[in-house]
Amino acid sequence: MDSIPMKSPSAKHFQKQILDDYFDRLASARDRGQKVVYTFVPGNLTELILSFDLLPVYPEVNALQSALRGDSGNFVKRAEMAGHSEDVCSYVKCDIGMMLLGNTGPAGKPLPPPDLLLLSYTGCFTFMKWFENLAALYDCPIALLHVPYQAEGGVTPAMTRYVVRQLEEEIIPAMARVSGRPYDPEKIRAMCALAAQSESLFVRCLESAQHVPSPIDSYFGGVFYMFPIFTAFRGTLEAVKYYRLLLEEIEKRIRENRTAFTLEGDLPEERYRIVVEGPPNWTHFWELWKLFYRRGAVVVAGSYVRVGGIYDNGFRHDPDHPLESFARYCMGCYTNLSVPARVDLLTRFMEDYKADGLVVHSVKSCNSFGAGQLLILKEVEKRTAKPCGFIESDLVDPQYFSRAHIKNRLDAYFQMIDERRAYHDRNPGH
Amino acid sequence: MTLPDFDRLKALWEDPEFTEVAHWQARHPGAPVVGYLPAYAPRELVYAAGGLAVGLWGAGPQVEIIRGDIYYQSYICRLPRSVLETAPALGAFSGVIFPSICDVMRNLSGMWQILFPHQWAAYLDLPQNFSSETGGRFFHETLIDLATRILGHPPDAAYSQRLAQAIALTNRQTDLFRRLAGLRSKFPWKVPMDEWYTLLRSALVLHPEAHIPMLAAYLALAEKRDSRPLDHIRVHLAGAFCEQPTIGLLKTIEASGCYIVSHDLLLGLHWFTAPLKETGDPFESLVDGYLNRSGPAPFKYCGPREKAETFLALVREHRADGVIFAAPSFCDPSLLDRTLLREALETHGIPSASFKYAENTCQYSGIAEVAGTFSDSIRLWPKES
Repeated sequence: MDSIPMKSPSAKHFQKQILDDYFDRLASARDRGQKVVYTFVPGNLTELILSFDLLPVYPEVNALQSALRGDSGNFVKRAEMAGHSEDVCSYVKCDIGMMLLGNTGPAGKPLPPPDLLLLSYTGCFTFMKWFENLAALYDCPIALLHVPYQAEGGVTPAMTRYVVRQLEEEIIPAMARVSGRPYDPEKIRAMCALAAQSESLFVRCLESAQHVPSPIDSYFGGVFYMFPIFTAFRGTLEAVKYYRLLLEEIEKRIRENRTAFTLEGDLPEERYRIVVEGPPNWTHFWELWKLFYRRGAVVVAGSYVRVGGIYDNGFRHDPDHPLESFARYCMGCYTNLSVPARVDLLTRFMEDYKADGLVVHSVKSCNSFGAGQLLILKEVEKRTAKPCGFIESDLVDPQYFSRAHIKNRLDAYFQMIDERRAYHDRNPGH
Repeated sequence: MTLPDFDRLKALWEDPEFTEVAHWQARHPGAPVVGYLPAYAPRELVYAAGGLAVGLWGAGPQVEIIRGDIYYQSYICRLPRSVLETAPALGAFSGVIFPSICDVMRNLSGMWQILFPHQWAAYLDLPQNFSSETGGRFFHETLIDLATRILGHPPDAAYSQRLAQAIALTNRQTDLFRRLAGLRSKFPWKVPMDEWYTLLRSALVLHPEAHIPMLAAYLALAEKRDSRPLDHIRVHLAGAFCEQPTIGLLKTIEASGCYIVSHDLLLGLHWFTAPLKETGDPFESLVDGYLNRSGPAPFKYCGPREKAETFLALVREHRADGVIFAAPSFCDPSLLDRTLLREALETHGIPSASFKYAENTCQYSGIAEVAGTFSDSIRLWPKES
């Protein structure tokens, strides 16, 4: 398998170091008596979890890493043998299959069973069903945080109050019971301040792709940038250090006018600047990336690197109002936005990132992303007059990836952009 | 007293043009007509505004889907396609309510805002926190917002009075549903499945004032019916709370030797296990109904132990010999519940069978095979005692 594509060794190595350390701590958690919380990336309460000296585990991250390692197909099959339908989310099946086959984590080390299932029901209905199923497999308490949906394109005081009350009445007491520690507001305030620093740095990294040529690929490269902030490190010094290193390296690339890196070195020529909507395919991640960069396409912005939180609009964790800011953070995750709000955001990306078009990658497993994507495509096309393309596969079930089919679609799509450019060259002003 | 005209009733809810609704509107000029999608919406809020609540539960196999397919990938269920297909007939509706039962329904609420800007589209975020002070308070505020949408202004004291009357009205209707379900459970041969389903589903289109007398008359006749039981097993049908199977499919299950003695078809209409309170703040009564009187549902959070126990209690209450899981294709809530519930049944030695369907499934031979074999396996090879 190709290595993690981070050209800058210091950021890459630092990330590897903190992730290795995290998985080591997970593997030894039981022996050391440290308690473990399973939870989800969107709407994660990492600062709270860490403040109680609990260790978070993210099943969807395990699933995608299993797919990158080529293990997910077996896990999915195992879950289907246990009675799960071929129709349902493959993240769920990969996670359950992995558990039924011994719960060895992506780093090849055993994952401890959860001491608490923290069901942050944010932006994905299937999360609820997923953890109902996990709760039947593990003998541990479950705490639910219901995060209201931004159906009208905004957050009301009633929505914030509802989430804060749940944090106060359900989530914090559940963590205190499991950890045996009291809630420490000072610690939380300090962690929110660190989270805000990471968030500002992360936004600057993402916004660097507005530069022409883009120094980064914000989708295929971006998914590696987002790991620290979306998983176990937001609110820590490690995350701040990582994003400082990353930003320095990106700024150096801009100064040197370098294009985005690929698996085969810097992109020889940036021919197409693309915005991508939807999560990646993880079973054939590298192959899919090649289909883009070998045509000279770089992804300059996308929705997926906002799935664990949107910081582009100015939101930051607030040390002075930590619980309210957790509430606003959860409600602001990308998949918790209405379809019109998603259209607005993607349209804005098309303009801000000087994109040539939008590609929608639809995955069979995810209705939270998928339902409505075809309308999003039409709306963005209508509002930007830029060509939009559509490809489909799955998250972690390898049988739904058809390279030939996707290549065919992408080839036609890039030709469409060429034709559009040629037309504009022939008809200036149109 | 005579039996209702079932063909006419069936035609009412099968009609993709919603002609009956148009007639109602002509008789009630200016009154709001509000659509609601599966599985539960507080219809009382609409009745209290003098309006008609219309359940949009999909168009079945009658409608050819063209427009709907433009918006959905092949791996998304059929219901939102057929709802979009028939949407042009809803032009005179004031708005549509989208209850929070899954991601497809949730996103459809936003699609509606884009596609039909002349109508309001209200997402009904049903709380998953069941404390009256937390989830209850949030739901109360949600209901006030929804009433404001329906009325066009905030609800006043007079509206609250009418809301209390609407609650009393739907209580009468749901009481009849309960009695009919009780009769069906006890003597399934007295209430044929197609009649039961047709009566239930016509409540999606008719105002309760028109529906209740018909339901009461039918119940009185059915109780006296002199028909003979068949050698069928008794089954609970689970998983069909949203997208509906055809009546043909339900009849096929029955004809294959399985009396459906209880079910979650059209769940929102018969979801409450006890009447709503008719005194005090009527908004609080709706809140209390949802928090404390609603039954289990795949879209309602429940710990696995409680989910299993409630389900087993339901199966036992209706003395079901087994369970048939009927899930719409690509329905995460139903299919992910199925695994949990089947496990609970197996632990208690209760047999089950399962299949998937879509609202336009009209090939019944596979279903007949599943249901027939299931019935035979229970009747001919009973459990060793």
